[in-house]
Amino acid sequence: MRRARRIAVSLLVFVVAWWLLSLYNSRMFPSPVIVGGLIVEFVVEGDIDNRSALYHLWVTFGRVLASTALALGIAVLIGIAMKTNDGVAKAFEAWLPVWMTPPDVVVILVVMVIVGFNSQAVVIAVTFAYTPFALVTIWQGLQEVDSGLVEMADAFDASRFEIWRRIYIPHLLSYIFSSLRNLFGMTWKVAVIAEVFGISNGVGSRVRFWFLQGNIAEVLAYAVLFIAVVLVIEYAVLNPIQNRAFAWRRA
Amino acid sequence: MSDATSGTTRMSQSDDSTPRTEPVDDATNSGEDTNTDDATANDESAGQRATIEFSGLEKSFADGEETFTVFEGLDFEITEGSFTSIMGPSGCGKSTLLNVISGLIPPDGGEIRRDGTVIEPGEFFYSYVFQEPRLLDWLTIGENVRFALRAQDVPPEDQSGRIYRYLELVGLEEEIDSYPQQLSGGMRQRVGIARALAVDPEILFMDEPFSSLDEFTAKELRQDLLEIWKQTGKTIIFVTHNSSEAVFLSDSILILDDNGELFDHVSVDAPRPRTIGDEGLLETESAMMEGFFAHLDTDPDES
Repeated sequence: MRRARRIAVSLLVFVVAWWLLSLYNSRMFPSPVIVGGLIVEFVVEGDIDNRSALYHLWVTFGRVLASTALALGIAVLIGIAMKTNDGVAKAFEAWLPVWMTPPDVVVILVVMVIVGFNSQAVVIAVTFAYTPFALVTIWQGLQEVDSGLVEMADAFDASRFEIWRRIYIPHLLSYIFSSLRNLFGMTWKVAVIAEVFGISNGVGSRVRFWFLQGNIAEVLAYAVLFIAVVLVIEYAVLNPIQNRAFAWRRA
Repeated sequence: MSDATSGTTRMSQSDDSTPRTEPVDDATNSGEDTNTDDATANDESAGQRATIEFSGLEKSFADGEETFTVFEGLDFEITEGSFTSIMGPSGCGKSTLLNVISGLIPPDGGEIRRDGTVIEPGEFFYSYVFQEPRLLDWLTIGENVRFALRAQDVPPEDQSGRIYRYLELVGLEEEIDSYPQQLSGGMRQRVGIARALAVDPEILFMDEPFSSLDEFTAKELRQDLLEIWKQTGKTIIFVTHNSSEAVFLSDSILILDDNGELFDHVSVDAPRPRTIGDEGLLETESAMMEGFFAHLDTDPDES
């Protein structure tokens, strides 16, 4: 309850600050009432392209989900390969900094040139850009596994499969969750940027359209919707799953 | 060759230095006649007990270009069903010796014979209790025990029964669905003991299992361990640097010095059940430590 009140108060402060800004310059900072009205209009009646804002959100969400899952899955697989094979570990440790260096925009443009201006390009670009960040977290987690537990398992003659299943993977879960949250926060932004570059649907495409018309209120309407969805996923999906998965910590 | 090879007994006891494997009846301590009878019974069963002989055990570790010898030429014998402690100062190689005996690390030389037949280190069916409980925090207590049972391919239909039985043995059957972090340090160590016993090992290796606990809890657990030993009759090899603990728990104590030399093998023939602070045990401990310090004084290698 206390948490809900805290969130409600901070939201209220945000809206009031926004409203005050709109009093100062309503053209640059359209009031929350106008933006709220646009959100309702886009969701209920649809945007100018006759598609509901929820459709665009859903399309972007699908791309984000796919690229996050791919980035995390690839990072976990590479992490396991690194843990089980020194050669793989050394190779990736050497190449990880290089992999993390290219600017997101460059990755997006290059992938779009190669793959085309479509959903797959967005997913591939975002996956490529964020897999190394997930990998760093996963690799760190694997290195921090309590060697005493593995020694214990060896003393009981546990198989490699059991050691992975009961020790490495459960230990890794907290790192996977931490990585998942970071990825979600980052992939949303990059996916939208990729959509801005030339995809015909998704939140990014609508932001580009309304920006080109010079309509800030519409751009803000999509931004607020976007933030709302991220918050809903954070509090209604990720938090409960995390609480359930780590119930033993609160025990 | 150390004194231990000749099985030096520093206790002023009869030849009945062989520990029992059968559960000890509390009556063994109730009177002279009963003690005599039990001593006779122990003598009889002693003849049937198998022994594990360790001879010429050695282990070294490479340290850069130099080789660090932990121990070499260790000879000793353990009677099955006995409670044997390996004692010595920190860093003397006690845990390494335990790891070599258990086969967790390979020896550089030496031989192990069981009833006269040469066997490989770790060939006997053992389990381990570590200094820390080493429980999987994300599994319940019951599932922690099941982890060991699964590892040992115990049939699934037998697992739940065993889990309950051994948790009951350590007094934690009510906590079967609790998580390790809900338990005290002493309770967690009990789970470690239950897990080790649940696989029904021939030998239970215990590596300073009570050293990280407060003295009150450790005292209680020592009593409980003896009770469990009495009920299960397992061979226990127990590593400790605590002389009182070694004397209270053990039938025999192998003492290593700082150089990894096994210089003494003390038999503790005090009747069981034993009482903490018992005069006889205190005398044994005192004599043992006098011997240890005398050895330090006479050994030029010791600093």
